[in-house]
Amino acid sequence: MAKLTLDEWIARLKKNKSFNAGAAAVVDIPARPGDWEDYPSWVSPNLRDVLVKRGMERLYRHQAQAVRFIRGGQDVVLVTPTASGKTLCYNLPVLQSILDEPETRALYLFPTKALAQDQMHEAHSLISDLQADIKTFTYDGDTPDDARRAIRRQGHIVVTNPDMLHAGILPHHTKWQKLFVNLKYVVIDELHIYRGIFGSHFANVIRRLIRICRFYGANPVFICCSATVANPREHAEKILERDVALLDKSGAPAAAKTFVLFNPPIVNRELGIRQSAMTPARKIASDLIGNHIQTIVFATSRLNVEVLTKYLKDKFVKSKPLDDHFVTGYRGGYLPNLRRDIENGLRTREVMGVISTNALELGIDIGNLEACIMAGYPGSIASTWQQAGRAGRRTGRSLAILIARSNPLDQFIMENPDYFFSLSPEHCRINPDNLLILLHHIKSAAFELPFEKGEKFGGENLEEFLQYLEEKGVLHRTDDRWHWAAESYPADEVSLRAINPENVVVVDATDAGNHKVIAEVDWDSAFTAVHDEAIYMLASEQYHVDKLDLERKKAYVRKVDSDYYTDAMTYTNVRVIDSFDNFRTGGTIVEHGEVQVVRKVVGFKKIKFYTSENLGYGDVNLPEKDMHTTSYWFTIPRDRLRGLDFTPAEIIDGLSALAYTLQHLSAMFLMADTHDIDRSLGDKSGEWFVSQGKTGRVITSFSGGRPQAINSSDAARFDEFDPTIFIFDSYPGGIGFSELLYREHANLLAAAKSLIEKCPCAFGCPSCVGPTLEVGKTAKEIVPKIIDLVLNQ
Amino acid sequence: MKSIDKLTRLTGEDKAPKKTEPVQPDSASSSERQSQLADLRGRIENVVTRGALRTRAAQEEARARGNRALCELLEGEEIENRHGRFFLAGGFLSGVSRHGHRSICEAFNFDMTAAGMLANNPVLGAYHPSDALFLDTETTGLSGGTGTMAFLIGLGWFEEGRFHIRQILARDFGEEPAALACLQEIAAQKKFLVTFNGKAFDVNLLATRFILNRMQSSLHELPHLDLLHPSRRLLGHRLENCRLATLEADILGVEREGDIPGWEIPQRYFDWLRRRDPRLLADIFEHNRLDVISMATLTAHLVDLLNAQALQQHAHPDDYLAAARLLLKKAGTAGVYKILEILGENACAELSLSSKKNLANLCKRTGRMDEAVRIWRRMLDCDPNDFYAVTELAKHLEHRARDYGQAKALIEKAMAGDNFFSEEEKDSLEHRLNRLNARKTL
Repeated sequence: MAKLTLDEWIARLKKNKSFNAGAAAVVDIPARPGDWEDYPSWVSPNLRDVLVKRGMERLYRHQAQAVRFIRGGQDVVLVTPTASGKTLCYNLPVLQSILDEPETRALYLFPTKALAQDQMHEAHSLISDLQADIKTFTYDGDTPDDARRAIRRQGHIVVTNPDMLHAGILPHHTKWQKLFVNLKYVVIDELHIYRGIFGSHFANVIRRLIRICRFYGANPVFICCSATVANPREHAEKILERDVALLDKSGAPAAAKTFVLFNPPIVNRELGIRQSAMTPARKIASDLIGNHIQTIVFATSRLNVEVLTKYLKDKFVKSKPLDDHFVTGYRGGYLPNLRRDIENGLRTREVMGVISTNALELGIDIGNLEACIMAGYPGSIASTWQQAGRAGRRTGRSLAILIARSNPLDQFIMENPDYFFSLSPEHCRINPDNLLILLHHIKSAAFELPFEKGEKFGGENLEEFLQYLEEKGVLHRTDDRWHWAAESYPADEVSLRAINPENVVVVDATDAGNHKVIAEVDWDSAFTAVHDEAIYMLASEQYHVDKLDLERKKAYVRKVDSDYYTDAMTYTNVRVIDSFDNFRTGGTIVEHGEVQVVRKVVGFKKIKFYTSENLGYGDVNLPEKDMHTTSYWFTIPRDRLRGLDFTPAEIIDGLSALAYTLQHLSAMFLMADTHDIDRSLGDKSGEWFVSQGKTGRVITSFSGGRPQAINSSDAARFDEFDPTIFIFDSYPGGIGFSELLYREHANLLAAAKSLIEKCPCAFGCPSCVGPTLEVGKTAKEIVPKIIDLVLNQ
Repeated sequence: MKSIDKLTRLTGEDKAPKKTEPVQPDSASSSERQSQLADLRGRIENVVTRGALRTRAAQEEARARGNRALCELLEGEEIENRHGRFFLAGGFLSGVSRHGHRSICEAFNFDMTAAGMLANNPVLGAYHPSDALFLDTETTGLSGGTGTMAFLIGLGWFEEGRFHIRQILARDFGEEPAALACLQEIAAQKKFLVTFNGKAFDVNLLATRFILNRMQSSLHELPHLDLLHPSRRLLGHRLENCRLATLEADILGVEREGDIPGWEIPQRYFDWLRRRDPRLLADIFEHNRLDVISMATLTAHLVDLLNAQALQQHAHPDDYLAAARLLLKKAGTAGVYKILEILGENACAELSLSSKKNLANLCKRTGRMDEAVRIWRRMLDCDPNDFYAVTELAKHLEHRARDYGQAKALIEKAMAGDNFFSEEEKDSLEHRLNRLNARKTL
């Protein structure tokens, strides 16, 4: 069968009936011409010649502007799409400076080792073409000891990641004296990654870096590169705590792109359920791959990646084995060698299809993929464009398809494609003064250099913190200095990325005498991914978790061939600790403040492959996880709810449904990631809460000190509390979302009402109020009435 | 609300210890009780921890008292230089004092060429033992990094038949610059360092401290004999581990009573900072002092091994073998002869199989064939089917003694006997036999 080119494939697609039925939008984005400028005069002739030989006769306008700013000592943030030559914006001034003054040093920061290695190859090849004595080295956890000393002394450009900077370089800065004394440039790539909790940590690491630079008399220029977000300058300035110039108009020509928004058809009108996004993803992907069109598929969870990989592998193995077709998954949890193999296979086109979570969002150059399928909205517009950008960096046309899932946010986008295409991407929010985070870094900074009276670190009163640490016995004060006075090493106590620093290691114990580590899972995901009896999937192989040893942080698994996979069920309980502010409206009290959140994994569902049937449930016995964070909530007096013409059970269902809708819409209002917020329905004191149990709604009471499920027929008990809906920050200490939601309360509820009323489902669906199996058939009817009540209309 | 109060709430320090179930402050009385408990807890904590935070004057007073008591308890005095003040304890050991097996005068004049071989730095050959600065630090932590301070620096050197010891103490963080200046002054007068694990730890740490205090130092540029590596090489074969304490006890014959374990030292110093009781530091001083002296006698002992001069009861034949192998690498055969003399005939009987092999090889490589042959024959007496001995002796008989008959008989006997030769070994012997047969017919 003849293979289609991408253009032919797209043409065929546009004629397909079922496709047209589901396509919410098909947009052909035209190619964009380039805008160029000559090289500045300070670029030495041999450097310019090397670049010209690589095809860069002139600079793109944004590159010329960038290098001008940088050369003049101005910090910059560059926001231009992938394949617009961002790396040259920093490599050019850095290399030129080193040529001018061989003692010059630069530090390049990348979020991951993989990305660092990739970029190093580029710089390296430039240098070897230049034939100059410029040394670049990667300094990370894998760097062997004997290499480390050489790098510290001789490396002109040291390439590393934030974790290594935090735990390996800064606490040993005297060994890096040569680097710091001569440090002229610091490059921070993928700046938009540094948001939420990771970003808040990162901002503090930069504070420590700047502090150490000051000690050695250095004042480097910071060069930041970011993907398209709503507030790049604000974000950069918050991280660097300095003025930053913004460059966001790309002068690079851009290839034509066809962008499709596709909504799977409704398969069950009564329940309002749509076909899973995985089905069209699977079909389209196999069609493209079958035509030798190199495709990347992004799935929204690791579980989905594994399931989809298995489906596609099955398809291509069952049919005639075509050796140049190869499908593989790609996840952060895969060990480094495997990831390198896959990346290489993509470059050489041995790998025709790759299914990934968002790991490949980052700028790893994997060659010219032609098509990108997103099975489910990635959670933010910025991520969507970044994922779509993986296709067609160099070839003439590329294809991006966003397939919606059944949840309010995805559906909202399908209903409002203009909103999506008008390019208002999300804000990057960080809170570097989150107290817990700040405390950790003040400790680390004190270890690095004693604090002196009058110094500033962060927006809070530093001296208060120092005194607190003195009382704790960790610092010792002498005259006007605070010295580190403990045996421990503070950088080890905190991981920049996770709440809990340690990963759980997955050990394959199938072969009794030969245990192998096959993957790593971060602490938080471990509870849902490798609990006892879970089916853990890796590279589409299944492993049954025999035992999760939390103390030793090991999950022992055994290879199996099962026909089902597992999905964990959790409950969340919230209790108010402190209310910062409140107002009354429509009889409800709307507040925001601090809460305690308890989460527990209670069980799991067994889901059959292909049919998605529920085969049963299992129990899980894991400890609760407890954190404090900020939240927005509102309480509706039960008297007012009684006025509605529904049974108490139906009202509870309605409230759950409203919470569901609000959680998803909040992400959109905040222009934040959906993972950044969570919801709960209960009573302010934490005594009652409502969750999804095995067979339906469960109300749990804590009045006996232990959680007890209340019989759903015991309707009278429901009446004893004023229900409160909490929408809270997923991170301990809070990032600052809740105050914004508190202010947008009325708009949020109005949008929820509009979404529900416009939804074409009959009784409610995952796209508006939640699956009717979970919220009951009357939810769609009730929720707008509750909203009216709350808004006093 | 103050940030610190918010913080303590986030860390859970202001309430009851963490339970695994959520708290239920529902009823009014229970919440009142909660706040009473919290209040009480807070007040107790205040008393316990705020004890440390007295007024400035009170702190000064405590500090001065502590410093005076320190001078009384340990023989030393407060010194002042242009960087500030610190505490210096010092003394010396006379030539006749003993430390373990050795007296100081016996340790004094060690051979510098041998020392250079131990240090892998021939430059030392031009110096004199009195140019050595023995150095050992006690620190506030083992992780290295810029947050670790060397609060006590122990130094020792030989001078006119005596072993001088100085111990520099920074009584508080603020005294570090003065302490480091003193160290630099003393180091400037010496030509090389001797430490135990100093290359990996002590000297790096001191270099870091100089940089942090913005002071110059030449310490890390001095030639450096780190005793850990040669100790491991020469003595590691018979020691459980290569810690200085182990070497001291097993090799040097030093017994310590009530020595403070290393892991307790950092916390003692932190306690001293808060309580200023000099008794907290006394053990540390003694521990450090003994470490410095042991390094001196250890140096002498290792040198003696290389020069075949170690006292017989304190040297094991395997020590000498290890020394001989080191010498062979560094200095050629001359020094090895002396060792082999010492080992002599009788020593061989006590050696393990692998040591016998080492010895035989050494003899062979230094041209002492008769001895080598003797050893091989002895090995064959014990085990006529030892592949190594059979092969070596056969080689000798064939190529040097030219006694093909004996060689052949030897191999045949071995192959016929109750042997455990591998396939390769059998092949090798057969090959040799064939060659011998070919010769014989000539």
